[in-house]
Amino acid sequence: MSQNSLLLRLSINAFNQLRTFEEIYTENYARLHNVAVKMVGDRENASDIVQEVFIGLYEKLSGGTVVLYLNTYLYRATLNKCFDCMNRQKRYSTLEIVPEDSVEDGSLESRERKVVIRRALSKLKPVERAILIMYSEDFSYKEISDATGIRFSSVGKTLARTLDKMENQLKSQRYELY
Amino acid sequence: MNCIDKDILQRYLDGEMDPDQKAQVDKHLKECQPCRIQLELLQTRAVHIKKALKNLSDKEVVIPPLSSMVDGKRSVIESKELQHKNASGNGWKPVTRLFYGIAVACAIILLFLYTPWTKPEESQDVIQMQAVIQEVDANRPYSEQETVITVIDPDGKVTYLK
Repeated sequence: MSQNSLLLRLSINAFNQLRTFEEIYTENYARLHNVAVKMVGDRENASDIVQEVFIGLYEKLSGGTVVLYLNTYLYRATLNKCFDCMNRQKRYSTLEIVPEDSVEDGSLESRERKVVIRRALSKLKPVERAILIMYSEDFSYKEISDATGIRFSSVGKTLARTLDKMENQLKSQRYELY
Repeated sequence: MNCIDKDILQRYLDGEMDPDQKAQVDKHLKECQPCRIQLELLQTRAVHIKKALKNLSDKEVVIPPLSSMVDGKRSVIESKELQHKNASGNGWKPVTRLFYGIAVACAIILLFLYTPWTKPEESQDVIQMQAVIQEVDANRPYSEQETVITVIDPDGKVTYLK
């Protein structure tokens, strides 16, 4: 049996929905990629992370495991891989990381703003960064709680504090938020 | 009534509140201007931070074709299988491995037993003991100073070299 036909046969029994691996891949890739880019700061690492997540899912499904909460699995796996990647970046560089993704094409002002935002993000704890990024991608508190492992009842409080921190960081770098 | 905490206002503006609690907050907001201002500030802040973060990944995401991932995965599977094969001894059967092991052990034992062991030859080096007797007068040039070397053979014969 070829790999492609295997992919088409795979299905998930989540809320009685049968979906092929390809559908799951196409539906979730962009959003996962956005989260990963903001977390680790560069597209190359983000693409590797998302690919590893889907390979992990593929192996689970082809091994016969039923993944009931697909979104939780995907975002939790992505965030965990992002945390690993951030640790590696920290280990190999003692300098403050402002990835090159921040200085890609665009006007000088827009590039500078991106660098400032990245720097402010890098001052947050990894979990806080994850919460803020998921919030910016319009995830619900339930989804944020499932993916980060923070209690649902604490998401509002943690988010409010993280927004305070981010605002202060941006202010300290003279970023005009309003 | 006391003013509302920031985190409760945050949940309120994100629509993450049960209806009863929301009704209470609504009622309070009607009466309390500072809380209304605070809510407005929180809302503006959230909108702007969200916008700023969204701009970080403003490039459109190009989804790589699934086949490229499957090809990558195949190579991962193959390398895993290769590792497994290497770990299990190059694919030899256990009996064959035992046979080869015993054969190598026997060869080493035979080699050890039939090696012609000879005593190492005694050293022919002559050991001489020597001592240098020299009185140094710092005020005289080096060429005018006398050096006497005393050499004692292993037989006990003493020679003085000037």
